Amino acid sequence: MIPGFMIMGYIFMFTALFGSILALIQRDLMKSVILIGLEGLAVAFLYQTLRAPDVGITQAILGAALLPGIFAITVYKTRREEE
Amino acid sequence: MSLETLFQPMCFLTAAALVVVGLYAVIFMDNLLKKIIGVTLISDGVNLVLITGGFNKIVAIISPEMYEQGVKSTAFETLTEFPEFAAQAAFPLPSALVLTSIVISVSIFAIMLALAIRLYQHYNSMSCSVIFKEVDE
Amino acid sequence: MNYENFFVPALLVAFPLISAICLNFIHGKDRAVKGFAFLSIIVVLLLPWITQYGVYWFGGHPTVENLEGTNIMLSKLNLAIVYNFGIIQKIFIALLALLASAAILVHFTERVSGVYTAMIMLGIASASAVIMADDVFNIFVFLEILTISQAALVIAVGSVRAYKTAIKYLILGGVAGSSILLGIAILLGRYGMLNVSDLHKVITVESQVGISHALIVACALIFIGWLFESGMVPFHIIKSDVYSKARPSVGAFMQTQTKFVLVALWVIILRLFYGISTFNALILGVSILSMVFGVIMALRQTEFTRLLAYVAVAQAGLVGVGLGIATEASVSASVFHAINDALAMAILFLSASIILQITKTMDLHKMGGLLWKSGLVPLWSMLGIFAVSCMPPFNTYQSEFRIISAASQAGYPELTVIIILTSIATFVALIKGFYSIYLKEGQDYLSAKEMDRTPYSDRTEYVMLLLLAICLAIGLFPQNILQYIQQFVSSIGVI
Repeated sequence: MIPGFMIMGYIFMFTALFGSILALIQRDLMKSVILIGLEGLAVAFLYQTLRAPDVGITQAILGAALLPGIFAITVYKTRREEE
Repeated sequence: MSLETLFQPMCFLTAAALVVVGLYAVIFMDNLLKKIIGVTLISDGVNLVLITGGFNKIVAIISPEMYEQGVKSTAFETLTEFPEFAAQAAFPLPSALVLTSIVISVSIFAIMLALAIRLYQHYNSMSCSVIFKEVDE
Repeated sequence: MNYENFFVPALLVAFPLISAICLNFIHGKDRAVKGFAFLSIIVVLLLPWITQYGVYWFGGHPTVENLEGTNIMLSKLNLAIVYNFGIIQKIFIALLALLASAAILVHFTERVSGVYTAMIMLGIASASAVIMADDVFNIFVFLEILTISQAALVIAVGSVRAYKTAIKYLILGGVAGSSILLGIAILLGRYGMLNVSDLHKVITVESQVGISHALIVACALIFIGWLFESGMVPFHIIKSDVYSKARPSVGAFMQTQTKFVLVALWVIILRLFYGISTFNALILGVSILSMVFGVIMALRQTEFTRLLAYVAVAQAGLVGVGLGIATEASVSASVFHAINDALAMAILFLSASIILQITKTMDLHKMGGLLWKSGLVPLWSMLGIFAVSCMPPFNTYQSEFRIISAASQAGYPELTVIIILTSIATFVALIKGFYSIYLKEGQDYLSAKEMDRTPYSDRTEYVMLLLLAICLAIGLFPQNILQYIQQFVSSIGVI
């Protein structure tokens, strides 16, 4: 049993949960988008800890790079502050 | 109830919490972008449930001693590593399901965000109470 | 099963998908798009009739014997994706292809858009896959593709109201799809397999001991997905929005998809969850509510396509009522009613398409006086209204009569009263629409025109005539189709 793997797993779980809650409280939408990117990345690392590296790579590309990218384009073209 | 046996239930709990937070965002948040972020969170949570369901247990795949033995022996007659590997590997079927599900959700989000930009250009506001106000024709 | 020739059931899904991709590539070159669309319409209309019957294993995998050392309680196991293709699936897919071809042909001489036709092809592929598949995950993937295709057909209209409907539909579709996936995850975690026939056998063996709680949770989640895909309460508003905001000719196709997906998904979830004691009561309750709410909201509408859309939702509720009673007679009557009502509502949606071409509006307050200005279309519309309101000699009369008699035989005489009242209210709502369009005094737009006959598409009228002829033929000789439906219902095995 490698304890490091498991400790990292717990850290990623908490990062994902708190990142998502913080992302929804923000008034500045760009910070919200970056926090969602962070949450996607934490979930990607969590997939690797759960012995599914192929899903981890896909989630890292799509959920942590592509999806925050198109969210950021949307925020740029609409409005940055929530009213 | 050590930390080791609690790992998989805690993963399920995180996934459940993600789904609940996403559902709250879809129902109660006013900004259109935050509703779309809520749908992202729901699908992330459901994918995590699928992968966690296929998890076996965390052990090292090969310990350093067995690696030395496997590298050094040229006969490969015993091959004891592989049944032990198969007993510890994760169930591969949920990976296929999650890959398909992630790709489909990305395409749905792309369409949703394009529609959100168009609606903003018409209404000049991202608030759902302004956009979806019921107007009697 | 060995397939000797090329026409396997997977081709029914693969060909529309390939043609959708090709149409997407050649979008913009008008003549190429028209030629390719015409070619794919012909192939799609022809394919259900020449495909072989039987069970199709993807990749040719047969069933395997029990694996030693595992605790799977089956003697034979389906390892790959399985498609069933029988007579009922053939009828469903052939009707879908007919209405999709009507939706494409109606606008054929104007500019044909490649992406629009590609989305209709995607709709055919996904509905065919849901009807045929025996694998739970395949159904989930194609239900998501169905959501995308319907949203894209609504977006193609281009107005801001269409965009609002599309984004609401996509958000709800994302949540409902995630709910189905969560139910699938619980089933996979509990039983380890995704094939419906294998799951059915395992659940039958396990339910002799007791119903597990994981099964009840999975049933609730997949039930929410079924509610969304079939337009029942509480999703009846968004579904009727989608039917009404798209073009009416494609609205005819979409309401057909919904009714057939309703029946196909119900067969799947019945085979999985029939052991739960309140399952039939849930389906019956939801269907009665959507039937009643659909008709009540149809009576209040001032826009013709929304009125038709709410009537379509109410008729889907009637199909669900027959499925919820769950005797052999009522289920076969319900499947028959799904086929009949899809045909009858398509007639009315196509007449709405003609009216849209003439008056460029759908608001009932602004229309009027079209009785002598649109040829024989009012006559066909009246016959279509008789067909939807379940009057003899049309086919919907046969199916609704059978649902009512099955309901009273199964011990629900109150349902008989509700169904008859719904039918009467449907007729009232449709006659109100007919009066506002054809019989009311003419409004301003028509007094400016000098011609006696305003131009509209003749092809739409021919398709309406064809559908009326099919409705009459099925109504006069219902036993031809009913025997196949009864065979299909008895082959489900759990009713």
